[in-house]
Amino acid sequence: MRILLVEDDPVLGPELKTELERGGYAVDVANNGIDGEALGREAIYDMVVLDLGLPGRPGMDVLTNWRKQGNNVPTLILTARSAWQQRVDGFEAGADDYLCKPFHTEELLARITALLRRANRLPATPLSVAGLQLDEKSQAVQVGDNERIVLTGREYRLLRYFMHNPGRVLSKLQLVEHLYDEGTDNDSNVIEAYIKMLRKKIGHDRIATRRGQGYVLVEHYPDLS
Amino acid sequence: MKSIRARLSFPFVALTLSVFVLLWLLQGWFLRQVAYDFVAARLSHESFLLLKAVGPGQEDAWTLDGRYISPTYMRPMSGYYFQYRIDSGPWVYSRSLWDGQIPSGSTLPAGKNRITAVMQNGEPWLVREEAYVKQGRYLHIVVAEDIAGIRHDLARLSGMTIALGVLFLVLMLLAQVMIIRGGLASLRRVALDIVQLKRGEIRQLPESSVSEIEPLVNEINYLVQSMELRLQRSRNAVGNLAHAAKTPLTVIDRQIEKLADRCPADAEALRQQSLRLRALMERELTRARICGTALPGQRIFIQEELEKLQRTMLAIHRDRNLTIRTDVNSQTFFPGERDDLVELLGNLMDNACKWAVSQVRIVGAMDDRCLELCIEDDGPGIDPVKREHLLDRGERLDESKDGHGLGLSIVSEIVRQYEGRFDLYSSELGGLKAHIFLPRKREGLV
Repeated sequence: MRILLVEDDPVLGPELKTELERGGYAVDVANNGIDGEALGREAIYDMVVLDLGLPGRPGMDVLTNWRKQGNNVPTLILTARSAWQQRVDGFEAGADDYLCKPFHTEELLARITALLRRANRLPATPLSVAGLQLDEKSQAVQVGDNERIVLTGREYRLLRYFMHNPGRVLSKLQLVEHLYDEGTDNDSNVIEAYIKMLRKKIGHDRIATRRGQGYVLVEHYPDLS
Repeated sequence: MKSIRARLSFPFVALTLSVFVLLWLLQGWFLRQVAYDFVAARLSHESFLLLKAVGPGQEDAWTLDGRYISPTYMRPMSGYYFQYRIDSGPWVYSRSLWDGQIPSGSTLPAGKNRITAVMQNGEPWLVREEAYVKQGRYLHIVVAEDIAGIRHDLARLSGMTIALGVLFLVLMLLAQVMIIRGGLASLRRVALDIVQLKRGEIRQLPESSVSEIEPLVNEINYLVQSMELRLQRSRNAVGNLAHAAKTPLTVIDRQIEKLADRCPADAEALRQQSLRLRALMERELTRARICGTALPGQRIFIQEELEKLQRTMLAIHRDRNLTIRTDVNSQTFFPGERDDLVELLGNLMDNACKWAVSQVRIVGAMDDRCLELCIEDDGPGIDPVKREHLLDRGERLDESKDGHGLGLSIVSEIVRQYEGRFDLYSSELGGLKAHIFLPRKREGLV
């Protein structure tokens, strides 16, 4: 899952990026409204965390412009402006959630999780697809009734992205785009390696290969146990 | 209190009245003068006739030749009289004098005359005395005419003049009142516009085409505008301060979390202070945002705002599957700032949504004098004793569910600004019922 963080504060921005990355997200930071709007237009982000008081272009304008152009990227507004009028304006402009500063990281992560679930029309918690149950706190997966398997950061990100898009064919490029931020060398061969490792942990047939197209998480997996 | 109309009317009436009285006096004097001159001229003529008529008769005695004089002198009390004497002989009287005589002054040098007005037997007479010398003898002729008739005519004329004058004055006054009223109409229209402005039906006074009124209207509009601007500016300043202060506070909080691993006691102390700072800032900033009806000309239709809030609430609490029912007439409006209404409803609705099991109900009603809002939920409700505490101190009952504390104190603050009432009851739905009562018009505002 790749998140666009539009936040101008030179301390809070990088710090939030680190914390979100610890939560298993690829994060790009834009520190002004104009860059933020341009980045948000690319269809590579699963969601946006948007500050409202931005240099260059106010956050509200950025959001309004996206929605006007038919860009429905899930957006969480993160702002110091806590008046109800501003919250209403935010939701009316097309925001999906609104969090006021100061906030706790857990609160932000919980909101992000909930928002991503909702955006992919998945039931609330825990994330459970095709007999796989993902524990987002400990970054582990439970296959059927078997024991929990601890995943590495990369594997966790990969599996979570698959589980958010069950039954959908995901190309290597798509996976790279959604799992890495722009600062990382995104070699698509790395994806193959991670898929191989993931298959080893959760079962080879759970991720099917579509030649020339990509990979797909098998939605209705026959009960092997 | 001074009235422009009275100030315009009074000098006008006084001036008109004095001019009229002066004219009336002048006219009376002039007419009387003309009439008396006319009578005096005729008396002079009569006196000449008498001079002609009196002369030496057959027996060398001087007699009056009756052919020369008018018969009216023969009729007693006819109103025309004469008397004469020759040298210092006895007075010879006309028959019309009967037993009386014309009061006559001292002797008059020959060739002179004297005109006097006297009262005789209760009648005003004009008397003309002439002294002649005829054939070497001194002749003193006195002719008089009763001028009661002329006097009477003059009095009638004067009365008529007064009557006409009064009529004219009344008409003038009426016309003047109407003219002044017409002139002041634009002022009255501005007063009505200001009432509308106060009620919130308009946001600016319409421009006036009257040059005397225009500066007034412009100044009021300027004042309203500058108030609006000042309000906006102070709100922006508050918003900027909030933004500027909260981001560093967020960073501080994160540093505290990091510190917690190494030094839990220090981190806890810092966390307490940070929490206090947060609460203080939040409360003061929100209070600063509340402005009451500082600005005239506001009319916020509640239904529109409620629809937006409803969407927002459903978005915030979308996992809860809540039903929000509203019952507000489309014409019901809030007599103040939009931000205040939204803050008020936002806090109450958010509380209701947080505690509700499945439904929230909002009812709004307005009559000529007040606006009434009820927000209810079907949640667990609050014990009556604790409700009092909540309203008194904005105390937070449940720390885990953020709200119900600060939120309600902000609501209380807004309601206080609008001089309304805020009560908490038990709802028929089972939960809490927040009841807001706001007066629609506040006196002393514009």
